[in-house]
Amino acid sequence: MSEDFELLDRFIAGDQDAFNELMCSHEGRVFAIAMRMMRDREAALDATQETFLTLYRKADRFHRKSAFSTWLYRVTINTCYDQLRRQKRRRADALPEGTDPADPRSADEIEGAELRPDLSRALAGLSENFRAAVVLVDFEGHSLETVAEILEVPIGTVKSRVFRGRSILAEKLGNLSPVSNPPKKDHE
Amino acid sequence: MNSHEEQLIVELASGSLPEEEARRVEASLSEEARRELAAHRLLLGAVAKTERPVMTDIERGRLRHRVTEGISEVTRELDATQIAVPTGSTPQRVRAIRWMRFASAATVAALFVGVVAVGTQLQGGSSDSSDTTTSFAAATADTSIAAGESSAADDLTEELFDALAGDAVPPEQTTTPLGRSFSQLAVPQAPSVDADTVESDLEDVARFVTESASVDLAAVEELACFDVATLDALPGFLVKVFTLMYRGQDADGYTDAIGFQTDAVDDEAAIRIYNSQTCVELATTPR
Repeated sequence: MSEDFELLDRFIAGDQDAFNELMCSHEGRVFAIAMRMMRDREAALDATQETFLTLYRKADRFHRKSAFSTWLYRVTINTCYDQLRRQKRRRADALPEGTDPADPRSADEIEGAELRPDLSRALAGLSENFRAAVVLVDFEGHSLETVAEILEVPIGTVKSRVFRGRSILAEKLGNLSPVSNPPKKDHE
Repeated sequence: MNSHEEQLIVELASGSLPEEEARRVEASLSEEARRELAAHRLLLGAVAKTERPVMTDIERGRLRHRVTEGISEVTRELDATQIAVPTGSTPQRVRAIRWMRFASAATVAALFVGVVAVGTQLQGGSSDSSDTTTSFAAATADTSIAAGESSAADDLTEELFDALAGDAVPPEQTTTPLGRSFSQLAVPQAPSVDADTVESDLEDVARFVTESASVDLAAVEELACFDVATLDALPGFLVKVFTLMYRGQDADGYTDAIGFQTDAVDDEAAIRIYNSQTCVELATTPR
């Protein structure tokens, strides 16, 4: 963590190499999160690019109350939210209702990256909030506390989202009978 | 099941409770909660077996190129005082970033072996290439971004190009419409991929070409035998270095010589020469 802060200080002081080092250190995880969120390699690359451009523009606004990575992953998740919303708007504009807008190529791609393509597809079916919580806790292995910081929600909300997200995934994968309590809108 | 039980299930399945407490809590769960916990554990078992998505080297190259472009745009559009790097040396001109130097150094190295291979063919008097117009000079142009560490390689490469240029038809006869931005592309440490994914990888390569060379797709497509040549590199695809070595004209029409460095040929660049109208392979070196 201190290494990140050191690089950040150097970057804010005008050292471009420090920015490059920060990017090299974190681009893999940022891409992985974006990929799980977006389920499309091009969209994930776009989100990763936008995340690092945000870092470039707003590094001096990071107040260091959390780890640098926590802040960066928050930027990543928020960028993904924005892009997912834009995608939805574009689809709503471009396609008649009921048309499946799935890109077969991107589906193939993620299947190549996953041992369980059905799991990946089920993940894509989760709402954005549930998906972010499950991706960060279960796929990326962050603690519930860290995810609460990343998502800027109380830890109870993270647990609730993770529980609902897991239940839906388990149901879709056939590991569980339909969730006893249908997913409710969690407390934002 | 109440929300307290739900939260306990999350912690039990994640293994975040101390062992003793976990045993005690689990024993206190209702039947329904236990079923749910078992399902969550099964799910997490499946999750544990998934692979983290990773960027290919081509994607990484594209990302870095795009971020660099984005930064240039930011610095162009905003006054330097408005961006996050207002102190220290003002980045009016964003320096070429470090990985570009690495990529370039790798390209120089690959060009070196590529040139040796082409040189062998040209100097060996191959009938396919003897009348061909060459534009080797263009192939070195972009290496100028390689700073410091690759200067020795640059010198060596320039010497080789100079030596080869002696045998070549003068540059004004060059028929290339592509310009120097097509002269080289480097994808250091690109992994091998199998035939099942080659189609999508080809698209990636095309995008990389477009973005790295800052040219439009129509111009990329002018490299007529690009896809044929890339497929020909199988097995052992992915192409690590992809270079239009020259474009010229001979008795059979226009030809493209395309240089590869692939896993299959290891350290040795393969040079393939195609008729650019038919994409019939005219020669390959080394055989």
